[in-house]
Amino acid sequence: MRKSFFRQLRFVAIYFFALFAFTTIAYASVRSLNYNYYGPYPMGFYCYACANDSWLVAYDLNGYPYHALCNICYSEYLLDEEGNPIQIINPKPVN
Amino acid sequence: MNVILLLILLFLSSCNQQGDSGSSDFGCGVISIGKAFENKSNVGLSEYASAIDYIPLETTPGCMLEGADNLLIRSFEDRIYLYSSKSALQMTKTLPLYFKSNGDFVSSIGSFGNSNNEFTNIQTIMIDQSVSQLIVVDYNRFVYYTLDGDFIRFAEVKSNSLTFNGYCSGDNNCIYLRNPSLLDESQGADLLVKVDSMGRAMVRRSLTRILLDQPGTPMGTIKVTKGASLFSSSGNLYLYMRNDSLYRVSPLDLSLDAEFFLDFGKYATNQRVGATLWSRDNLLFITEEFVALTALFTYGSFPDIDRRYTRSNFIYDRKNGTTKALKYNDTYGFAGFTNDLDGGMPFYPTYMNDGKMYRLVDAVDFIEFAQMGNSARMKEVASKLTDDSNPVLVVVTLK
Ligand SMILES: [Zn+2]
Repeated sequence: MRKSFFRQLRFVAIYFFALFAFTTIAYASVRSLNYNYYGPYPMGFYCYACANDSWLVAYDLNGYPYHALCNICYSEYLLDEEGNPIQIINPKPVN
Repeated sequence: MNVILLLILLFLSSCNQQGDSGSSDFGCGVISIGKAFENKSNVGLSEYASAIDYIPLETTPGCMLEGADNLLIRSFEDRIYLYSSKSALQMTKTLPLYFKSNGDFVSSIGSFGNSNNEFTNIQTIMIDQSVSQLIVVDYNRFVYYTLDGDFIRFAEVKSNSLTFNGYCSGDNNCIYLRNPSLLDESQGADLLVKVDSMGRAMVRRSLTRILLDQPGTPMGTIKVTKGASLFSSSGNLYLYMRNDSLYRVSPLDLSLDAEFFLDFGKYATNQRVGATLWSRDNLLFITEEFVALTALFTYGSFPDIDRRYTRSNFIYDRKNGTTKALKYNDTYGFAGFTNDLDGGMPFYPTYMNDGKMYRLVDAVDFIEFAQMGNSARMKEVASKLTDDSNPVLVVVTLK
């Protein structure tokens, strides 16, 4: 129970961190934050929208992946520490 | 037979009634995507085009381009502008580059920075043909340049959007579509906005979104909302809405006039997300002769479709009303018009303007493609390339 609570807390924390980081990256100057996307490379799962396995991946300050952006259609996933998708943020490519 | 005729008549009239003005030059065309998808075929370039040429872009240290897939094209008169589609995400940002239509490099455009005459990101580049200006769209800012890249002025345009989906409307104004983003206050609706050359919003139109199921995600079936997409082709603006209709947008008051109905047949969207029009990078090409469009057969909804066809290109012939799905070419590894103009590589546009269609091909691919086909011009161009050369610009002149 306790573990699950902390897992959820961690998830929420990652979620808001990712939201903050991604929107900051997209909206403003990235240079001062030093967040950047790496890739594109395969992550072992296909994009639910366009069926490609080609991802731009952002990592947090501890080196864990947290955000994957489909290189083809820009659908967005939050990732867990192992790089598995845990949530779709912003369904694409059809808005 | 009569019943079918009656149904068709009823359908056409309802399509016209949907428009606000009803003054469309063309009737409402039905693009039969679902049916065409069952029987893919080849379409020769010569049906719609009169010439094809291959322009090697100058390769010197001051004008090195990244891969063709990451580049977007803009053209005006004898000028070609190329810029990165992923500028906002890149560590090393590259400036838009300006080439002559013969491939000679002229200059880069603008500079990165926080001054008024600079930009921090490039969301898109628009060309205002009515006043011969380039507009670099930065986050919440338009930066205006002459066609040669001299700074003119800037305007603040609050789009608050991750990506800017907008176009000049030919009357010195711009029209953009804002989909709800994580940070905005549009309360879940899409917003079509017309701004004047000072960045002031003149007209707004709110467009409702629909809630759908998206199956087949790593998290199972999830709820998503779907809204509108904005396109520009041959100087007109088009809005794709309700998952099946393309409306022409009036630049005056943003009223909508139904122009094409996309019949996805059994792949249509119902409760769940079905097939839909591909909305990234303005891959919609409408001339008086044809409509070339890209449809997405959403993978999560149609996992059994051959993944080479998850994204498929269709050609609708406006004269005879037929729709064809382009066959994937296994030799070249993509689906395009068959090149019956000079026997070279197949062609599918990524950009169209002023009677010409364009596509960039990486030098390494171009060299390989030149060997595979019979185009003497391709072989000639390829003989002067190395793997490290800039991409080749393929230019197709429409009839
Ligand atoms: Zn995708």
